[in-house]
Amino acid sequence: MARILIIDDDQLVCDTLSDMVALKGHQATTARTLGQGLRLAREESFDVVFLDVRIPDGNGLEAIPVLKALHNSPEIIIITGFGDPDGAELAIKHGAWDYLEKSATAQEINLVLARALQYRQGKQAVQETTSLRLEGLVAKSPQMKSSLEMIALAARSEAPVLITGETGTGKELVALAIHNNSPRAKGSFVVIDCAALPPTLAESVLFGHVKGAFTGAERARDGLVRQGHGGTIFMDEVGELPENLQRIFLRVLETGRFRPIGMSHEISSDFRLIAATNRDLDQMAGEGRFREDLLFRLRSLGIHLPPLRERPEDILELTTHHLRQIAARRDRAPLDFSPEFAGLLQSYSWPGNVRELIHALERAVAAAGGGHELLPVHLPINIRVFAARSSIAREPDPATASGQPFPTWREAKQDLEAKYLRQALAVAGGDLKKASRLSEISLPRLYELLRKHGLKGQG
Amino acid sequence: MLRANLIVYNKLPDLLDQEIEAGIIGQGLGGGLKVCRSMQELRVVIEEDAGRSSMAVLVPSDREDLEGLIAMRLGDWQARIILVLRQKDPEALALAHSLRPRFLTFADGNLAEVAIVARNLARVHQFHTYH
Repeated sequence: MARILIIDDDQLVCDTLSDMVALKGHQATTARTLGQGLRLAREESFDVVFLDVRIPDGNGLEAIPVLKALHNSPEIIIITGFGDPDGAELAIKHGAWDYLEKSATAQEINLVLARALQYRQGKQAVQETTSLRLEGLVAKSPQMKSSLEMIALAARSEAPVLITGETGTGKELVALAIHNNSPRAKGSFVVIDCAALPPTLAESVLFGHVKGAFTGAERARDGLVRQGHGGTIFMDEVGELPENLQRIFLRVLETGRFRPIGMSHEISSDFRLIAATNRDLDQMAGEGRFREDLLFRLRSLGIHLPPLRERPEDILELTTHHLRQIAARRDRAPLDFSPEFAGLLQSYSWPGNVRELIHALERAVAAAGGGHELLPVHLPINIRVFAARSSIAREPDPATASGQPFPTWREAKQDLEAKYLRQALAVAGGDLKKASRLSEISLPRLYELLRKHGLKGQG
Repeated sequence: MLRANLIVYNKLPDLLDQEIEAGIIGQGLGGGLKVCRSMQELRVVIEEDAGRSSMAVLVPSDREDLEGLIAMRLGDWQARIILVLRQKDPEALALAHSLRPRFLTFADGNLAEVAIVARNLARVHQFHTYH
């Protein structure tokens, strides 16, 4: 329910607008003078102000900046009996949401009000992202910031949520963030992994059974749906839910009631559902493999998580965050990382997304042993190979770029060798022993190679 | 053959982990299996596991043991957890869900389910092996 202030000296307008607002389930307060309206706006908190222009004690247009400067900055809809293009322009420039004539139909007024409230809700969600509890979620990129806004919106709602995204993008963390920031945070967060459940067990695991309900049911079992009472159920890999259970689950979502296997009556569970998938449920629904009505229910709120390769701005933030976490678990100071290490992380495509990044960091920290700085050499070999291949692929074709003849294999190998040695020396800060360790080339062989290419190090 | 690292945590010297192991082998799930008899051992295995994706069957001996596992912040570890509870009281159950298990069952139930679920998890998710 929103709170609406109506400032108009015309009693009939005040009454008509109040009735319209009340019919939409909102609370209306009226003021017949500008002074009274401004006082009310300062003392109370309103979402929207309907503001007349010509009021006996002042001009509504001049009051817009005063109202917008208030702590809760209400949306302002100008409503006037005297349509004036200049006045309309001035109103919008001062920050009014819209400018309506009193001759507007109820439908037009309702639509403008609904849009203003919808916009305001979204705006509040953005403001609230700063106070969200976000364990493990990092958002520097615009895509992830927009996901955070959706998380804030979802946390304030009771509607089912469908989270989509590739494997490893953090769908479960998003579900957990919604739960932790919702009024159900004190209840359980119950995971149902639809892909893990064998079809023969799924119904019993979800809805429970009574003793003796079927062969092997030696004891009664409370299903996960019941265990989620008062909390949130996170249904992972929802695309894997068997078709017979899709029908049952849809009904549970609609009624909050279900019947454990073998029980004569239904029982209820008050839970909020968050589902996730990396499958294309629209396509599955089109092929008749996923119920369209269930998909419609699940997607009351949809959150799509972009793959890591589409939000490179987040890679270093995530790296810093997880290195801190790893260090805390190992009870030591977080490791620094070299610019080359950072560059390599940013150039890799991360097909396994954030999960792959975390694994790579865990392995890099383990490989660094007692060192203080992470270097490219500490990363898993598949990532280094990818980076090496990409960097070579990015270089222009020597034959076409310089007009030189295409190099022989021996020449190309020599060039690559020299380049690698220069990089090893740079990363090692010129220290030959360190370069030998990093490159896993013995010191005598390293001396030999450096001499061959006319390069010099220290030590 | 499906392969996955499997870690079993069970402090009590009973036959439960052997039953779980036998079921897993029966499901044709290969890889490596490590049994941890103490929280300390589990910590070491988790550190060794760093950067891999594993599956863990945790059988806390009592409420205190369950709380100990929760305090280890296993959520940061990337393993898929199957939880076998010896307690059935609602408080223990509510606590157990904070470990976000992919499957939760009870020690006096049908442990063959654990092996079936482990097999399904190995089929769906990519796991690394010790070998």
